[in-house]
Amino acid sequence: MRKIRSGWLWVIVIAALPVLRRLQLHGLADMNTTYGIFSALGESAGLVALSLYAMNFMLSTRLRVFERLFGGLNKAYNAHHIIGGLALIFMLAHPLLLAMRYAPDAMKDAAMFLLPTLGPAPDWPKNFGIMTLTVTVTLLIITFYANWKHETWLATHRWIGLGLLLAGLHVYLIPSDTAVDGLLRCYMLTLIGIGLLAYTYRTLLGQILVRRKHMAVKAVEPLTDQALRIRLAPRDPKEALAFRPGQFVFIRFLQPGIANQFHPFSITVRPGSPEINLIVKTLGDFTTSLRQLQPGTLAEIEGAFGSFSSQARGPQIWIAGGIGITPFLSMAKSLGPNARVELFYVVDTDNDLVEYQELLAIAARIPESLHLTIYLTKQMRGRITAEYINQHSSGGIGQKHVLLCGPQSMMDGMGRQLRQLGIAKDHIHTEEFALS
Amino acid sequence: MKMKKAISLALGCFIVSFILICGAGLVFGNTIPNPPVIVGIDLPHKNIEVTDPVSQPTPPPAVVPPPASDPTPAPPAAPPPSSAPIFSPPAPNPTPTPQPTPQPPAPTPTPPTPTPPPAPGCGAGGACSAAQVAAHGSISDCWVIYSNKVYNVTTFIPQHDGGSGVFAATCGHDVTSYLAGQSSTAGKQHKHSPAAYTKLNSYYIANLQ
Repeated sequence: MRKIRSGWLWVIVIAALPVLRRLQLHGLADMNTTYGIFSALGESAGLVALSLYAMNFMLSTRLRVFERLFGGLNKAYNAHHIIGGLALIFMLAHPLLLAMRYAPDAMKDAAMFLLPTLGPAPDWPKNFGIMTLTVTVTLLIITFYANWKHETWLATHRWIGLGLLLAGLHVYLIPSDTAVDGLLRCYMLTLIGIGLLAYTYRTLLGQILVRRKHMAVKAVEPLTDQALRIRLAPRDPKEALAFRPGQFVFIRFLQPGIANQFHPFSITVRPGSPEINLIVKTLGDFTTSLRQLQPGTLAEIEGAFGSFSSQARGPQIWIAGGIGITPFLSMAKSLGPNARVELFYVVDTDNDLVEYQELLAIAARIPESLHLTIYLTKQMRGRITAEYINQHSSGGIGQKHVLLCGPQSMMDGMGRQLRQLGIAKDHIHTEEFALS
Repeated sequence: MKMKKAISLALGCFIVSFILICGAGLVFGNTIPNPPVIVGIDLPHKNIEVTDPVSQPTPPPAVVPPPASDPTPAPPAAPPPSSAPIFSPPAPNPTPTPQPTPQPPAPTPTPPTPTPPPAPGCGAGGACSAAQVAAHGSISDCWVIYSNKVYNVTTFIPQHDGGSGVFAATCGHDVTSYLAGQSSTAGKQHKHSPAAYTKLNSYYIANLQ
């Protein structure tokens, strides 16, 4: 049976509890009329939507507990993305189902229900609900559809807390079950309250409340046409970063001309190093601007996050696509003599290799622990396949754990091929670095 | 990618449904007409003898209309033995609820001829007094007064958007000002939508005396 992460179980339980309470209050007695059926469905959709909406703010706090529950911060962010989408779907269903109560006998009432009630006697509880839907739909459409620059998207997404605040007012004022049943009211308002606290902690007062370390840029070294290595040293030895191999940090550089936002990058040195190195591929506006970084520039660091290296045990196959090599660099530098790792490093041409000499040195020092295969797609005239890896790894893939980091399309394709080869899903581990 | 497809589908359904519902509502209106404008809204809400000249002659179509002799008080008479109208809720007093309302006073001596037909009683086609409505003041037998009309809302209670709690305080009483959002009940104050009045229509059983 497929293993469900405990984080998802929590999500399901928290979203289902208010629906079960509503069912307990009403039973099935009101389900014998069209009015009752649509009321039950519409109200349940609203309760689920709001529970998911509030939970998503908790997930965005980056607290360790969510890393543990979902198996890594990247997985927690994936869950955040999916939960946000589900909340939107249930939120859209909520007013439609409630309006359908009046159909077909009172279509005008159904229409009026969907429209704001203003004028001298405004229906604020309903109007707050409509405002919630408008704000949330607008912001999530931007998230899911608009291909805006990261900074622009982030500036819009910061307003998502307004949607939760409006939703809270809607729940507080609406004369529904949440007004009559103390338990349900308390549950929903508590969830919303925690969500608003999480929003305050992360977004409104993050600068004050979130613990961050401060380091200074020591050097910026070009590695290839597109890759930079940024070396950072703590301002104070007490601010040295504790991390495990393969983890990443969120970093912000306080230099004019460089966007004042946190971005995730993998640490490429072994744990215990007083300095940390980050390798950046200059793909977008922000990463390109990092070429202008000056030594001495102050950086704020949050982390370290991630559990990529701790998910697998025993013999392993690592597959790195392009800049996806970065988490494997610190993992390779940390390998002991008992490790059994085969690393497939996939790049277009040898000009794209980063820290190749360092990897060669490790493979030469502990050849039993690290076997390195470089795969040049232009030379091989095609992408690497799971079949190729199966043929070129010692004894085939078999029961080995496979760790993947690279472009999303590569990880999706490779994951599919590995499963087709019969590799168990819980033996395939991915590290998404396009967190949003 | 799957989530994006699901959201696209949900958004498409929402937009189409929204346009259809609003379009149908604005073009066709309600097949069940809304109740007439309530004159009681701007008046003190307690049981004032207000005659609504607009609403009185046009009771909702789904219920049995009040008797033709409505404008004049019905002469006191015993209710007919089996003339219960076809109301959507069960006939009043399905359970042996005690009737604290005193029986009407003994008939006054009447001229020998002609004998008027026996007038229907409260809830059986005839008007009800506030005291008679007050006798139905529990969740399991709930009558309310709204704009000088009497409604048996017992079967509606489980469907009420605002839950059943508010009925504990409103059953047997005049809810005109509460429905209009002009007063609070059980700590709740809410101006009901036109749909609520439409819904209420189907529970009409009598006029208020």
